[in-house]
Amino acid sequence: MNVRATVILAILKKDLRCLLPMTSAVVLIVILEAFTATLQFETAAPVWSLVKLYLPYLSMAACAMLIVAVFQQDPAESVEHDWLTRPIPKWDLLLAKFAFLCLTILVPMVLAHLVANLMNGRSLLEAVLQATVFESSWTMLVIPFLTAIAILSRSFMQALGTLLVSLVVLVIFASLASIVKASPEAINDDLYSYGLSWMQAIVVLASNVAGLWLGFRYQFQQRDPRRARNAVAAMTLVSIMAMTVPFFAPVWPAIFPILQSTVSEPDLVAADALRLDSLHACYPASVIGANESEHAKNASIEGAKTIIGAPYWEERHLKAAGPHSVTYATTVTTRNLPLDWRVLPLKAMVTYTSAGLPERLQHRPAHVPSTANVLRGGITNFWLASEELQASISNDPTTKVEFDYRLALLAPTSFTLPIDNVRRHFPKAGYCSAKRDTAKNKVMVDCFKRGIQPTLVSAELVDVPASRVDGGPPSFSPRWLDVFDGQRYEMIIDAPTLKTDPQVLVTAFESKAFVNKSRASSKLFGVQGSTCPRPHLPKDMQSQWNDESTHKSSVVAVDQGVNLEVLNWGGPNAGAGHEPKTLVLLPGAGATAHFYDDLAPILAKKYRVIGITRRGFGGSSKPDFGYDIARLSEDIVQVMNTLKIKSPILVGHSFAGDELTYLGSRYPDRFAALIYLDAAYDRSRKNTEERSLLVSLPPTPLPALSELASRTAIQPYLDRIGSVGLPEGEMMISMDLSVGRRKYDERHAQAMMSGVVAPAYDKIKVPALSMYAVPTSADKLMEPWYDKNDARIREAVDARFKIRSEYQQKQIAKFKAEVANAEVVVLKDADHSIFISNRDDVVREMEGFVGKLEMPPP
Amino acid sequence: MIVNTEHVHKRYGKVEVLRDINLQVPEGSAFALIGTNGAGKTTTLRTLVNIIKPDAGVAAVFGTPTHLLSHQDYMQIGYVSESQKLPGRLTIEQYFSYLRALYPNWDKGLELSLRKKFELPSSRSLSKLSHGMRMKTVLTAALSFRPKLLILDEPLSGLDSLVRDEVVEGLLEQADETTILISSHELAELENFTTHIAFMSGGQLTFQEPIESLRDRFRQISVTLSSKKELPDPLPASWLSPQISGHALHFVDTDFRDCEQLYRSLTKHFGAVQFEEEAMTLREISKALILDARKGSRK
Repeated sequence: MNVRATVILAILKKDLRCLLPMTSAVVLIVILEAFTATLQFETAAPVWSLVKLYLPYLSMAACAMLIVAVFQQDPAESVEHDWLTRPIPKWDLLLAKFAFLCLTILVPMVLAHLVANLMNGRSLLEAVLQATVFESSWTMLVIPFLTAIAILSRSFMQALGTLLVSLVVLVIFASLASIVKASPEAINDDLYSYGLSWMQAIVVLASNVAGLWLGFRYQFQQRDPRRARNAVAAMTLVSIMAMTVPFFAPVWPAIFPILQSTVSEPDLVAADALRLDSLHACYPASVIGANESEHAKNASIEGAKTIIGAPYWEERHLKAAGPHSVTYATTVTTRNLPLDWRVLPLKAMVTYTSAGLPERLQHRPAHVPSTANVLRGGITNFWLASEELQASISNDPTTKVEFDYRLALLAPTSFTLPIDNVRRHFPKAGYCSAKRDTAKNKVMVDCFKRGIQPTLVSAELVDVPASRVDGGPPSFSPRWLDVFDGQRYEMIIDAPTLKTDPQVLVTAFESKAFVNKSRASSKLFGVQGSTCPRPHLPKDMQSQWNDESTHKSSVVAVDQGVNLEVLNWGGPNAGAGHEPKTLVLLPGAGATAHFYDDLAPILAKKYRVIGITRRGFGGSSKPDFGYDIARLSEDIVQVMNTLKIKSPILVGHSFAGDELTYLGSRYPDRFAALIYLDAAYDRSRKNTEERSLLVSLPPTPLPALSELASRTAIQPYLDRIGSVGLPEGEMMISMDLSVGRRKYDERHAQAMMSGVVAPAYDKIKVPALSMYAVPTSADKLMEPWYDKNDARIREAVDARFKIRSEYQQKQIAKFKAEVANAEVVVLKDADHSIFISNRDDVVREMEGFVGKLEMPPP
Repeated sequence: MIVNTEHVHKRYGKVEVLRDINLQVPEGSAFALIGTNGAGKTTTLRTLVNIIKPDAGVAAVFGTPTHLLSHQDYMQIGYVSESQKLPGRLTIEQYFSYLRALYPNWDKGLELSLRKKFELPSSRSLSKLSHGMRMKTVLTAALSFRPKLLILDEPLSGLDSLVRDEVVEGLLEQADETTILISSHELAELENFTTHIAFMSGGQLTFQEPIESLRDRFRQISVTLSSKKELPDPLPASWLSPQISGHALHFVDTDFRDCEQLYRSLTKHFGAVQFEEEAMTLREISKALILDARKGSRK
């Protein structure tokens, strides 16, 4: 045998013999840990959860002790140990020690994981891939350091002491880092910067390996323990600095170019693919009076947290901003990028420069979790401005407010995964399986990937993007760094019952570009005046909304645990031989029966009028199931059965058109007629083109908080955005009046939208009237908050008009051609809420249509 | 020279443990390094096998500076120390099997014969050996690969006389082929085979020379004075341990050449005297040197 191999083997054998009891214990712990981590045991014993919780730590500690022990078998620091004068090449000694550690830690760990994975029903290939994952995070960083300490210490106990001291130094540095005022250009742990820890890891790894190498060289070759210790201490300090300094020092200008160099085609996505807009929102963030007691201040902060953006602020931020501070929002959206791309903000900052300010101010936004982001494909940020800042800015015409974003653009690759607990291989996401837990109504998605890792993995129910769950934080490490990596991504999706036949969409996102996006403004961005309006005290924010519509409200059970809100506006009394006709009003998607609060009383003069709010919205139950079109339509029949409504005329706005078509073809004898209010469209087609155009346009601005106080107060806002508004009752029930947005579970709306089918108009056996709101020019789609001088906006609006017009024409023609007894009315330039913008026209057309009907005998 | 050190210094904190050590060990010699406890003998020997790095100066073995000694060099150096720490959980058999793999030049026949001679129990673990047994084990380990240089740091201390004889006997068998550098604070047992002597005191090398020249220049002198006299001040540098009592003066002359020269020196200090000179054993020489060194360090 090779002489070197003989020497290594001899040392290995000697160490195994000398450390037999300790090694046996460590191997046992490592194996146990591998099994408990991989296998799921059906036991709820508290001891078991304790074991599961602490075994990984015990295993780590045991391995660390074994590392120290094996190096201390032949300690370099000694002057008395036998090995010192033996003919052992120093690197062979090191190799022998590493061989020992491989044999006693790595091999048992890999084998135990392999067996456990095979027992878990994984394929041999996957089990092997998974078992051989190099635990990069811990092993790679810690082993060189541990080895250096083990080599430099005089004894086992001294090594343990040194490890403890290093830990304490790290803690001290970390706490120093939190005390030191962080530079605005420091890594911010509020955003997605933790995906950049690979940069720190490289420095830590390099310095630890250098420390080990130098320590080894000085200690073994040159027998100079002091130099060896100094070298390791210096390198350890570098490691600790790498771990802590980026959190307070201005490192961004250095790291962003590095980040950009990690993507292969940095110019793939132009910076103008992103828009930076304001949401025109300006809210009191902290309504603390200057002279309030601490208790009152805390109460005010609690109150302020319910305000938009404020939930994402931490208390310290609000306190630091002080009384009368305001928060305002900005959004970053994509344009000319596919809708399913994701934008992650790595860093966002605003800089205020004004003569009135003693110095340039730099602030960061509150962190908004990606799941809470209002815009799909975009991001919203909330900023805080103190009273002093507002005053300085409003008094100074030279004010400059600059927003600076550093963003990551992620491109998706998606796969559909059946929920059958079978593992399948997908090129970019690895081995994935989805398992349904019926009792908890969840789907467990689990992906395991070896080698090059995606930046992010997410899973959602197909067609219900709001159900999306990310499999852990993103990682922006360059591909070459992932070669030895292995990652498990676990995602738990709630409520698979949202869909009747759910499937999972697994998406692996890859970083395509890192973009710097800035925008400057001469005032608080997007705020109309030179400053935000004065904040209001909580008592001013009391709502003065009233639902004065003449309806009676009741609930009707339609399914197990599902009650629908039914509004009854009554109707004329039955005359001799004349039974007034019944109208059943169905609202559009996201709306409630209150949408008809203004129309229904007019109709109730001639007809009996009831309105039904579908499940998931308003005052109806919001179960996590039954959103397919058949079930939603059956709910209507159920209400009719309960209330004994016979042969009504079904009136539906927008999305309700699908329910009308379903019911009209399935139960022709139960309905007298159908009236579509801008509702007869084929929603099963994918209108991706129009959606991406819409997303590229500035989002609807938000009302100011003061404007949400009453119906009268909100009118200026409605005028500003050119909206026809909503009935007061609808505002109250379907809007979040602290924010000015509709409130419903996005998942329910998406499940509902995904449950639609192409309309089978030819099966409709009852007379049908369809009214359409048709814009006559692109100008009608130019929203007041769009910048009319922006050529790109103009272009997008024109394109949208073209798509929309063609689509509408086709839909109208289809309806006319396929419905046996069809009547079509086109209302030019009407709002989509056609019965609000053109109420008289709608009433007239409806009465005309109903008048012509021959009602079946009661 | 198989060992050659030039101006070697070593200091631990404020204590200077080696001061300008210039040691030359000729090839084939049996070189005894003697001195009091704490004189720096162990540190010197450790620098020779690169266990300790000197702060200044160069220590070379086989002509190679010690920090550059390769594993091939170590195959030619046997090192035994009274404080050597062994892998205690190994049995004697396992220990030797481990060592055999490290030395391509291992002589298993010699190992077995030494183990038999020393009556080492194969299956006993090293941690359970008595001090004597342990020293015999490490000596066997150091001899079995027939090294060119054998460095022995106090190999005999703490051994009973029977074991001491055995160890010396084992060494004597090697004396012809191997350069032996041995440190000790007493030399009685080494007298038979030592060719060179060096003396260390207080971190310094006082002298080093072949044993014949040492024997030649050391004499026990007994003088009868004509009248009561005081010791001369200053004392002649070559006089060790002078004792004067009445008319009698005893001292060790470390620079004896002949009687005439000694007589001249004595009469210069004391006038008319009578004296006797007596050759000294190595043990007596080392005792005198050590006593003197202790006295010196007390001063």
